Amino acid sequence: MQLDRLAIVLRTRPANEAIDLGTRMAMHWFKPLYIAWLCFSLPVIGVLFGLAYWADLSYTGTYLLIWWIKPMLDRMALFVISRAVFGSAPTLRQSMKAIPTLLFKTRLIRALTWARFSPYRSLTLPVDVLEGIKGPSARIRRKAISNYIGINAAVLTLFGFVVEKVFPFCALAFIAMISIDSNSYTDELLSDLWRNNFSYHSLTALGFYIFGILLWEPIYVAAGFSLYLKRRSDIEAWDIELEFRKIEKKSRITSSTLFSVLFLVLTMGISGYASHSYASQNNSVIRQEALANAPEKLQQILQQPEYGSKQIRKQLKLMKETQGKPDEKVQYSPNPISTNPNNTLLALTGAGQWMLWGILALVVMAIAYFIIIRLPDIRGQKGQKLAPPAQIAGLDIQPESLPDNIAEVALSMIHSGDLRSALSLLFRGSLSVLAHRDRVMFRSSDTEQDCIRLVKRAELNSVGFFINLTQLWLAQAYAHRSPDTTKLEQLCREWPTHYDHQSQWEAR
Amino acid sequence: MMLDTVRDITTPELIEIRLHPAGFLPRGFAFFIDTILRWLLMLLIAIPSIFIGDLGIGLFLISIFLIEWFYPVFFEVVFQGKTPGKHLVGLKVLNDNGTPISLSASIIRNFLRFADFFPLFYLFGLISMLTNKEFRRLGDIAAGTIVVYTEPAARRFSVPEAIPVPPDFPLSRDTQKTIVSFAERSVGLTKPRQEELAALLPQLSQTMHPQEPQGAARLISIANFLIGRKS
Repeated sequence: MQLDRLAIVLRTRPANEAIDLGTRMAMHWFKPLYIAWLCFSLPVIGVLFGLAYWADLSYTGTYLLIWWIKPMLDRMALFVISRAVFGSAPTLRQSMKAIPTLLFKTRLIRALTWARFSPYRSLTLPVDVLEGIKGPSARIRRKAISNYIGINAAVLTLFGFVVEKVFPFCALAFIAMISIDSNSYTDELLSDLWRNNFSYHSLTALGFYIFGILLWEPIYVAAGFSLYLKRRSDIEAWDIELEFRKIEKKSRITSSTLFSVLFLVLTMGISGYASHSYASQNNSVIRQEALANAPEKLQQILQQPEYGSKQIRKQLKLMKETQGKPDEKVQYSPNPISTNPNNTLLALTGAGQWMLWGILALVVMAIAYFIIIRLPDIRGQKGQKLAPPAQIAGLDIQPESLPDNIAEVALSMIHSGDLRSALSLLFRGSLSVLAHRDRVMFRSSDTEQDCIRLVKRAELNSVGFFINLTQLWLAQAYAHRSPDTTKLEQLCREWPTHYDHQSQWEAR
Repeated sequence: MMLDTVRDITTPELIEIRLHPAGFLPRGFAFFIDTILRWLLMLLIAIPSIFIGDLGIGLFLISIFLIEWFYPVFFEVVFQGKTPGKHLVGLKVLNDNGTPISLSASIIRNFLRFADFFPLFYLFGLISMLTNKEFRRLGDIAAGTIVVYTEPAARRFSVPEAIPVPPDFPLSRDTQKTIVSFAERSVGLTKPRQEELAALLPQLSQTMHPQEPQGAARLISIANFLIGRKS
């Protein structure tokens, strides 16, 4: 018994809570439980009905017969619910395969004879079916299990008895309520049941009784099984065992990690001192073998649940995709117009198709018109927009405002002693050339530092010169600190090498 | 998912409360007791009212109406969710957030008994209790109430007495709890089963000192130490 596969929470719970858990179990595994249960019990009840009809049994006789056979049907419900609780709800095929075992190896004769009237039926059923013990030891076992909680099992059985008797009444009352002439219906019903023979009404009552059994009995079995589990968990301290295993596992994990760290430290330490090791011939042979075996081993390892073993996924696919080969597919989708020209609907769709083609052509033409005719205009507008500003930082940089030979004019200004206007002229000339010839994107709001940044980004050869010039200009303009005249003269001579004469680049 | 029948609630103060919803069997039994009590009460009123005449019959009919509909409401609101039947079985009604049931919720859940009773003998109520995860009948679902087991009174440790022995190494809180509960349960376990369980924790149950107890006895000694018994 693998406790860690249990699908219910193990704790010390009172017997009543165990019964509640049983109903939860029955509802949780509703589908496998009821499918297997119905597949087994409906044919059995059908056979019994046939027998009763053949033997000309009275209504009460049939009623008793079906009541009597219940322990046999219970075995199937217990089989499914016990498997489900221990981690794997059986498929219908597995349940059907288990029928011979359930019928012949679970002490069915005892259950159908003297143990039929035992109030602990649901509680001792798992002992018979699941534990597989016989004789005196089984008797002791049943006694041990039904100690203390026998009263709860008896109350459960009593409750089930009441439910089964009352359910047909409830159902018939429901029918009487919704039938048009409810008084005569109930009168007929009661008289038929009283006369105790087969008729439409007694059959309905019997049918509801069977329906009630079919609904209730799995819940009853599950509740009994839950009680049984509670009792065994109490006797054998299953919850404690599970906790102990958890503690041991945890301590093993921590000790193993500790050990591995220790091992790592030790081996690292040793390898530090270790002498040279040589790969021997032997070693390479082993290595080859290991390489040869690797794929299989890898497969084995990958099959382990930790690595997410093989999963089969099912998904819906269109029939068309799986059908036939590609060339058949071409046949499958012929041109609707060519195959069925008379069909107006298809003709309409054909016309629609042509219209779509026409629209596509129009769109293509429009795009072509836009690219060929309109784009140059737009670009022209854009070019206007991108024209260099007339002035930067308050300095007029339009080529028209500058003299033709800037460097010479500047030199003459230096000689006449007007250093400030000379520097200003050089700086303005530089900006003008940069803006118009090198297409550096100045804006009129740019400061001198912005200009330096933009020139740097443009990656021109004249960066160094321009920075130098700008710094001199800044010192002159804002701090009134004039550079040496010699330095300034050198600047004037150097200027044309970076910034050609205006006429030259304007002509180009 | 592990199956269980509890409802865990976290209060706004981040306190965890665990409710144990009660299923059809104890509730049916409690209802049975309440029904008998109600009928006894009606009988008690009926006997004197016979002698009053027509007025007595009128009073009796009114009292039947009141008892039939307000008996559970009265007891649930005044006695913290417990009618006499529920009290005897060990149940009480709460709002489904764990607070004491309010008057309006109690009225809703008890007046909707009619829906649960439908078509006869509480069939719909039973179906609702069987299929609902917290075993609520239709009235409970409508009123937002839940019937739970009253918790048993806090009990003292019932660890069998032994000479306290400290464990060789510090234990986590959960481990301490488990060992104490093992010691408490050990009374009901057979000796071989005790040893089998103790063998699962060799680090705790085995010791180098030969004069100290080994196996399950050692675990019980450790439990004695953990709950603070003095030698």
